[in-house]
Parts: sequence; C-alpha cells; structure tokens
Amino acid sequence: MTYCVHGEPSAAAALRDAIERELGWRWPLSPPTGQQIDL
Amino acid sequence: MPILRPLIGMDKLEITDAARRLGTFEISIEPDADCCTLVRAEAPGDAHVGARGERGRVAPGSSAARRVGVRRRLGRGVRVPAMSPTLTFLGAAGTVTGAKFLLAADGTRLLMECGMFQGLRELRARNWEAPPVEPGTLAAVLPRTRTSTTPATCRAWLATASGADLLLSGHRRPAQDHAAGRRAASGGGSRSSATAREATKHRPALPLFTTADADRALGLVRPIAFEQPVRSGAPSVDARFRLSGHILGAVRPSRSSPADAGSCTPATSAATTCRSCAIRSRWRARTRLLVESTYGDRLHPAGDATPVVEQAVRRAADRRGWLLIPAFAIGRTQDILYLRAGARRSRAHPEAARLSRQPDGHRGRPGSTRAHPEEHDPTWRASSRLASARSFLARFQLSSHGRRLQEAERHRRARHHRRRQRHGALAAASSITSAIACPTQRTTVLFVGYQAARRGTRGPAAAATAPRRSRSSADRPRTRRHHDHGRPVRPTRTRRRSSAGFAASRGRRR
Repeated sequence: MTYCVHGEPSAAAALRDAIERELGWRWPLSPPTGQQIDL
Repeated sequence: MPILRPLIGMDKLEITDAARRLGTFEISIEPDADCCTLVRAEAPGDAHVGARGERGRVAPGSSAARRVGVRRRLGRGVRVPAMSPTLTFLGAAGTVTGAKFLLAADGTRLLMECGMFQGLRELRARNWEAPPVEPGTLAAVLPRTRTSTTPATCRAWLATASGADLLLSGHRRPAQDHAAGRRAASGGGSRSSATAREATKHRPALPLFTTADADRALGLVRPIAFEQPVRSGAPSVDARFRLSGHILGAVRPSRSSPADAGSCTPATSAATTCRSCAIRSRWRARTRLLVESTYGDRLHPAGDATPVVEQAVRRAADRRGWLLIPAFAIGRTQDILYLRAGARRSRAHPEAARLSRQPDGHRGRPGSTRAHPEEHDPTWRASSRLASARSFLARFQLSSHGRRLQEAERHRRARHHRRRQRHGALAAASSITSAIACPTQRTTVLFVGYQAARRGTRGPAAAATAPRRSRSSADRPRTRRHHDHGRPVRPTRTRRRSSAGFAASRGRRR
C-alpha cells in the first residue's frame, strides 16, 4: 500500500493519479492526521 | 427470500451465551460508551496499559481506571491479545511539514521523524501544542533531516546528527532574539511596536525553544550508523537506517520477525522516500510505502539556474558585501554548494565572494556532503563533481568561517543589538533579512526556494519587498507596499534576487 505524505492536498492528489496511471499501483492514499494503519 | 438477522451468524441471545462461556459477559455490560475500549490497549501497540495503570498513573474514574478494574476482575486466566503493529500519521498528512509517524509494535513505540510545522500561521501554531504522543513512552525518535526537543532519546543517523547540531546551534539564538525583540517592542512606544504586538499571541512573547532546550535536545542525540540496529526493547522491532532515497538522512525503519531473518528487505516495513527513489526500489507486497508528495503537482523550470547565482555572487563580490542565500532546505543547500564548487573550479566566481548558509555565521560543518559521502548514490559518489565539492567545502570552511569572520560577526551582532533596542523590534515583514542582519546595500539576498503560500508567510513577502528608498530618491514614485500577515512590509536596503531554478513550481504543472 502506498501513502502520499509530506504534501498539500493538491500535490498529493496529483501524485496519487500519477502513481496509478504510470506505475499501475492500486489505490494510493493520502492519510489524514491521526489515521492509524496496520502493518 | 432469505431473512438476514442483524448479525447474520448469531442472534443476541446466542452471543450472550457465548460471552458467558468465555467469561467476557461482565465486561460487555460495563457502563461505558463502547465495551471494546475496555479490553483494547490504551495506545497503538501498547499491550501493557493495564500494568502501567495499576502503578497509579491513571486518574480515578477515567476510562483507563475502569479498564484496570475490568482487567483485575478478569483475573490472570484471560489473555489480552497483543495488538498488531501499527503506524499512525501524526503529521505531514495533508501538509508538507510536521512529519511524525508513530510505529508501534509489541508494546514498543518508535517515532519516525519529529518535524516542526512551518508555513502558515495555523500550521505554526501547532508547534505550541502538546506533542501528540507522550515522549516518555517512546523507545526512540528516528528523525530524518530534522530534530526536535523531545525528551525521548533521539537515535539519528550520523549525517542527521551532524545536521541537528548545525541547525539547532544556528537557530536557537535567533529564536530567542526574535522573541526578545517582540518583548522590547510590546513594552516600548516605538513605531514598530504595534506591528510587533500583532506578530505573536503570547504576552510576553516567548521563543519556541531556548538555548537550553536546544542544548538538552542535542545531548539526547545518539548517532547511529547505517544498518546498525536501534535497540527498541522489543525483539520483533528492528529499526535500522537504510539508504532509501536521495534526500539526506532518508531512512527506512522496519519491523521484522524471526521468519524474516536473513532477508535483505523485511516483510513489513514503512519507508519514507520520494517518488523517483520509490520507483527504483523493489518493494514487497506487504510493504507500506510512504511517498513524499511535496512536488506532486510541480515541475522544475527549464533552463539553468547558474547565471542567476553567478550574477548574485559577482554583485556581492564587486560591492565587497555579503551574499546570503536562505536555502530553507538541506538538499537545496547541497545543490547550491555543488554549483558554487563547479563555478569555483572553472574560476567563474571570484575568490572574494563568500557564502554563508547560517544566519549567525555559525562555524559549522558545511553539511553532510563532505562528512558523510556514504549517503550518496554510488555513481554520484564516485563522480568528480562530489570530489570537487568536497575540496571546495574544505576550503570554504577554512576561509569563510575563520577567526576574522567571527570577529566581524561579533561586531555586527553588537551593532544589530543596539539598533534593535533603538528601533524597538525587528522589522516584522522582513524578519528573514533582519534575522540575518544585512542592513546595507552591499548585502545581496538570493531567494532560491519555492514559496508555497503567497500570502500569510514571510518568505514571499521578504522576497518581494522593494528596497528602502534613499533620501536622494525621495521624489521617485512610491513602490508597491507588500504585506506579511496582513501587515505592511517595512522595506530594507538589501538587494534581493530570486531564482526559480532550485525549486519546482506549481505553475508548471504538466
């Protein structure tokens, strides 16, 4: 799973689109502050 | 047509019977918002919250106290399952700065990065809030290029440790001076006092951290070499600094299990890196990859930034003045130093021009470029470009940060201090140039970073501020007034230049 951090919402959205389009990685996310994920 | 009951598998009576058999029925009827909170850990990955609470560190009547009571009634026969390792985003989510990622596993907590918020006022205000995680519960803090003033032991990669020394030593004094200037302004009747009173919400103005804080934080830093494991106290947590990207100090703390021993890439890891480095790396399916999206919608401009820098250097040299480049980022500072090294080798820049990246003329190391070449890509490391830069940096350190410069800096500080007492405060809107004390026309300030927020931050306001008019030019038309935080910018006499070649710009989205 890929998470886009260190970016403003517009920049993160553009990177998510690029990752899906160019790399084929599925569903990159931009986590909100406080979100917890399982490793 | 099938009728699905609310829980499909079992109805309420069946679940109640099962709870009685398992011994969890008494917990489920506890008067609490959600009985699940009574058996879960208090914090991510913290399986020992009950034991900690029984030592009397929880408030009576609180949820934690009820949890302790429930666990006592459960007795020792009931096993509370350990939480799976988790990663919590505590910063740099929806914004660029303030990165804090909490890795929790088996009761051990590691904080990956501990950055401060920068930029807009509402972001900077978060720096004054209590830390989102209790520092005393952390086994270690693993920063990349920044450091913090947390009381937890800070395990930093060698280059990051060097950078922390450089950055904190360079910034602790301006932080105190800035607050002192605001206090002086708020207490005096100078013309700048109104501006200064609006510049902070604190009465009196306080520095975000003091010299003592910085010294204490630096004392907690423990340098860690590449691939050296960080002892977290939990056997399954294996945090190491690994080369993960081109950014200085990019790290890859990871969690591995005994089954993963010998594997070069742990089965479960969390990495922070940039997009291009992520593409080059081979990641396993279970890897959680954190990609920097700062430049997700920006592109570097076409062309070469060298002429702008050379022009600024020549101007400063011709006027026998200072050239100050607020680079704002270590990576960008590297680029500038490389560029200067190349120009120096080709004798394009005069010997007299000096370059300082520290506002108070700190006699610091010139970054990690020379001291930690292992950070760089192998092909780049072997290039003559790096060798040239290292040679230049060595000479730069000797020539630019020598005793003569220190003496000049002391005199400059004394003059600046007297002037600030006389005028009451730093020029609020041009705090960058005031902080680096460049009051004469001889000084050139070259802005090389991308100023993300056009309003509400000091960078773009200082870069766009018109120079102060001399007496002889009083009859010239008035220049446009710029604003910082809604306040008018006081012009300064320094000459400002900007170069977009070192930072990607949003206006060039592809």
